Amino acid sequence: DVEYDSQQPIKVEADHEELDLRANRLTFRDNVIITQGSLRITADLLEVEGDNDAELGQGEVFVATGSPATYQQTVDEGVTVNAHANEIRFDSRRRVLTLTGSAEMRESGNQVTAERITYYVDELRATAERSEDSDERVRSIFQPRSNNSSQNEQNNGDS
Amino acid sequence: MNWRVSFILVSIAIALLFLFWRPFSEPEETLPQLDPAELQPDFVAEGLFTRIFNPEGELQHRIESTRMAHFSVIGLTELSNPVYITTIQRDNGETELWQLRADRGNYYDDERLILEDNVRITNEDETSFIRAIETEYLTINTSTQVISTDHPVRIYGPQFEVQGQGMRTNLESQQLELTEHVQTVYFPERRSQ
Repeated sequence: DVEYDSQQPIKVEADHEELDLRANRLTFRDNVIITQGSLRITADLLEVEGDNDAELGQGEVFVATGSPATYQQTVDEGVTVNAHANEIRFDSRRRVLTLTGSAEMRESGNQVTAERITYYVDELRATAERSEDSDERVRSIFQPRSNNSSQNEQNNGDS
Repeated sequence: MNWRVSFILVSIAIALLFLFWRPFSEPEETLPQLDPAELQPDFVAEGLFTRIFNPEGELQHRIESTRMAHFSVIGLTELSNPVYITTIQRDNGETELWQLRADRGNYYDDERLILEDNVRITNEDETSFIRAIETEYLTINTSTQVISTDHPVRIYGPQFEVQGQGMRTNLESQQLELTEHVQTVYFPERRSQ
């Protein structure tokens, strides 16, 4: 689950890597896969920036871009969250995932589609925003986990 | 009698021509590869260090070693336990010190320094993004400050460790590129210590 995942090392695999020692930035290219326990992000490009926070100390922010970049994590017994977007920004210390650009997130029947989705991994809570210039309503079919029976038929029709 | 003399003269001429011609058709013999092991060093020094300053008088590099043997015929200086320290002047006036050390080294007249066995590169600045780089073989161009290797490399940062194969780094511009990336691991626990 998410608690276990947060204690695991974060592994990054990719074909190419460059380090900008002046900007404290690592850049990974081609077939990028980030894993941390059951968390898995795939992308074409990944930039990792050192992030110094007075309170939390030294850490990293992972900015993955792809067409799309994808995210997957088992958050609970048999419950997996899937998402994709043009950009997935993962702040490994604050445990916050920000999906930007044609963002979509699905979790056992729940689905959110928006311009930007912010997902608080440890709290399993997501907020969604549409882009300013679009009048498209944020399409969000979220249901409390306890009574999702009535929704299921409708969602199954959707997916 | 006459044809005999002409015959002799012609033979001599051909022989001379052949002799004269052969050296040009033969490729120039290159100097035999001299093996330092068979050579006697011109001089040996213990506990020596050399310092190189830039035109503005600022210390640029320093090479130390416990033992140095110089072979002028092949333009080579063999170094034991070499330590190469290079100072990079930043545009904001700060200086950055990189230290490169190994068990063995060879310094050539064309300003190439090759380090071998337990090569370790460290940045003296505690807050530096890179704590250390380790490999078994490294070529340093002491004039362009470009270091490179085609051997396995390990890079250690405050919270991460990178494994790769082959590396090229420009210490001046601070850009490091791996020829082949294997894996990078970030350790969240280290942060909590």
